[in-house]
Amino acid sequence: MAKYLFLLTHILCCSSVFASSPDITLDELEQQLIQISIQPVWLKLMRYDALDNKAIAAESNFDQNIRTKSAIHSADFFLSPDGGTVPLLELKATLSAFKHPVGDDPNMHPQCRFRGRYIWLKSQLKDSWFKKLSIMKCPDFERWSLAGTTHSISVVYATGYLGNPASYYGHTLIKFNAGDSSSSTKLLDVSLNYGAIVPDTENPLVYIAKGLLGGYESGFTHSEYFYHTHNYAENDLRDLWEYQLALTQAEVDLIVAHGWELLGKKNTYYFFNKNCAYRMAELLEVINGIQLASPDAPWYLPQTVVQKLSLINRGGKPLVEGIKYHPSRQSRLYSKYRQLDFDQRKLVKRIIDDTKTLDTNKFVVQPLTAKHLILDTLLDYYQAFDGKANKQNYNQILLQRYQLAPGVPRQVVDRLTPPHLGRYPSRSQIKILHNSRMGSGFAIALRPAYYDALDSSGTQVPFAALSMLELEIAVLDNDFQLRALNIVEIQSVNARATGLPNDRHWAWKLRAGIENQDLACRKNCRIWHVVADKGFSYSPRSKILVAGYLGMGVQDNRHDSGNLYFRTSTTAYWNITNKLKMGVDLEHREYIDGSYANADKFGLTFRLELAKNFELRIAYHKDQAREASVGLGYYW
Amino acid sequence: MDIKKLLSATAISVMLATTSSISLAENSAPGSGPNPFSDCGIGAALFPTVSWAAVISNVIWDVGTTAVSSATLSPETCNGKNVKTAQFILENYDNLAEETAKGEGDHITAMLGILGCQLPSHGAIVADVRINMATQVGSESYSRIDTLGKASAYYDAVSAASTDNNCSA
Repeated sequence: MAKYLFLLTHILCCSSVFASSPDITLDELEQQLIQISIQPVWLKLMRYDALDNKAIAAESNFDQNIRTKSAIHSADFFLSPDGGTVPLLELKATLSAFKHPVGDDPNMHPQCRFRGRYIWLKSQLKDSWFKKLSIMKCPDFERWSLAGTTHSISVVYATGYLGNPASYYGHTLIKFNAGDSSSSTKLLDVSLNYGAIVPDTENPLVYIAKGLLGGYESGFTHSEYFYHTHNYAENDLRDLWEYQLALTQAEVDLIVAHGWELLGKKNTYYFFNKNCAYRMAELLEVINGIQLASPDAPWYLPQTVVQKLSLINRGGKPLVEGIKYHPSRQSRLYSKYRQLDFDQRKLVKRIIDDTKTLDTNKFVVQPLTAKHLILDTLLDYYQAFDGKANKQNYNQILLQRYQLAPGVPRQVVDRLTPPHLGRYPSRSQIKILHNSRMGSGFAIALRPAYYDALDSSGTQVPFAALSMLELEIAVLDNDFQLRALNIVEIQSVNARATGLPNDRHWAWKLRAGIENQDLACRKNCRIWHVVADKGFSYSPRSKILVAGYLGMGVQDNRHDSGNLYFRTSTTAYWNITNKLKMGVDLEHREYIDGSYANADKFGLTFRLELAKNFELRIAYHKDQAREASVGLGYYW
Repeated sequence: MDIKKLLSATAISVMLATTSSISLAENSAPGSGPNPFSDCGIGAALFPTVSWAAVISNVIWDVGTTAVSSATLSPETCNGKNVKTAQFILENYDNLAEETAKGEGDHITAMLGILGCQLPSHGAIVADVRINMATQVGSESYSRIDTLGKASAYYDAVSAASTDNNCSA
């Protein structure tokens, strides 16, 4: 019965759609539409959930319409009342709407509003149907897409930074490259961004809860690329990495058109998985052969997009055909600062202390190229760190630059590892242990993301740490233990800091979660704790960093340990070679309340990179008991 | 931000993109016409102070929503090319001021591209603007002028230099 109802409905509502296709039967057309409606590209264009094979078989037999769900919940994205859930009905409604007569505003015609669908369906139905369709002109789309001049697509990765919690993991944009690749056009290229719609005055706790639990709507916006270079590279001081993709012109046109039809359409935002990276990946997946998104993954990071892109080969050629680096203002400062010799660095410091130094012989006798480099370093410095407070000084540096002959010093860009070459973000680890109190055993650890001081790679901050939801379970002396569940652990250091005012070597750490009280504890040992430290780091050479901290911890009172303690800690890291790294931690705790004895802790860890996504760690820790471990880690 | 604001942002963005495309078809000489800052309603920076929540969720809904009055789009008074140039200057003033001091740069090239100036003319235009800017930056009042005022003066300098150098020829 359902089958006949389906056919009747189909004929009644869709006969006009197929009236211009006299060469094939209705059944053939129906079958053709069913096949199109279950094609991955149609499902991607409509943001439907993936279909299972059983449902596909049922629809192919005319048993029932496949029902699924679109991630988009803007009603105006669908042309059928059931378009949000039934791919076939939306397909039929779309084809029917394409035949609508043009109204007062051609831009509102479905052929123009749903440009991506139009282009793709045209490629699927071809002469059998589209040749008799009145082809609309779409002035708004033509203007927006710069009349089809986009010749390539780039995925832009904005590096994460520890000054901003939701930016820890980076960000992803898409850029439409039009014209040539000269500087006259690249800043004016259209780019797509994706984000949550957050009220301006949102409470931070509400923000976190809603961001994690899907409390915000989200969607795509577009702007010219210079807005992003300004926001990310100049304001947020984040480097931009641009991955240009090798796509055919038809593929480029489809992505541009699909981007157009997504503007202003709403999704639900989930910080960990249905975020900017995921939605950008989805957008690219309308191209056959590009598989990037992981719908069921609990987290999806921007770095994953560029890593997956870099692994795709199509027709024997890599999908990524070019990588460009756009250093942030801060990175430009560091590059220039490193070009200065010792005396010139001292001179920069003196000018910051007193701009009258510009009138002294120390500056005046410098050759022109050195003056250029010193002044440009200062301009970057003020823009990156001290511009607002010292606008007067910035203006004096700028004036000095105008008073010299024009010229640009030789640019030396730091050799950084591109983000796609970094290891994968999640780590599983298995360790064998020997504990002086509990004997031997083993442990399994899982860190969903992201890095610690010994395994930061790619564009992650050297010697810094950022991990979330790190879990360690051990079996020792036949006893099963949850040894640690760190909700968050952050170590912020800046090994590249110049030491100039406001770019000091300050460092801080934060750790919160559950952990065993010490290495000797056997029963009732797990405590909730939050520890925060502030300190100073120093990097005498690029491969070494030493840091000292003062901090305070709050914890459960177990075994009369009390709830509060102060601590001093010291860490040192040494990249012995590119693959072998060493870390040392020393800590002294002074418990404020309770009767727990003050404690000293010590840790020594070596990390050997066996392959990009494999590591070996050998560690020794002392904390009421001594423990040695050998662990094998795999990144995924 | 509510949907009204979102749609407004999208609509204005489309309008701005439209404006930029219109400019390509316009035949008015670069640098001609009124100053969009004083005559066309550009009155606020495009990079407002953004709330912490907007920043950390990478929300940029407000980008592209500069207050451009409807008069902006009138080709008789304020053609799209000039408005577009003015907006670009406003957004990128610091970069432009620094690049002008250095004599070259990506932002300068992009700006002159919007104006429709041919590449061979860029050097002469930048040299003229540089002379003008050196005077401005050296003036006592420069530190007291806000970004809008500085951008407006820079626009005037570019406009005059592009006209003097017949840059579209």
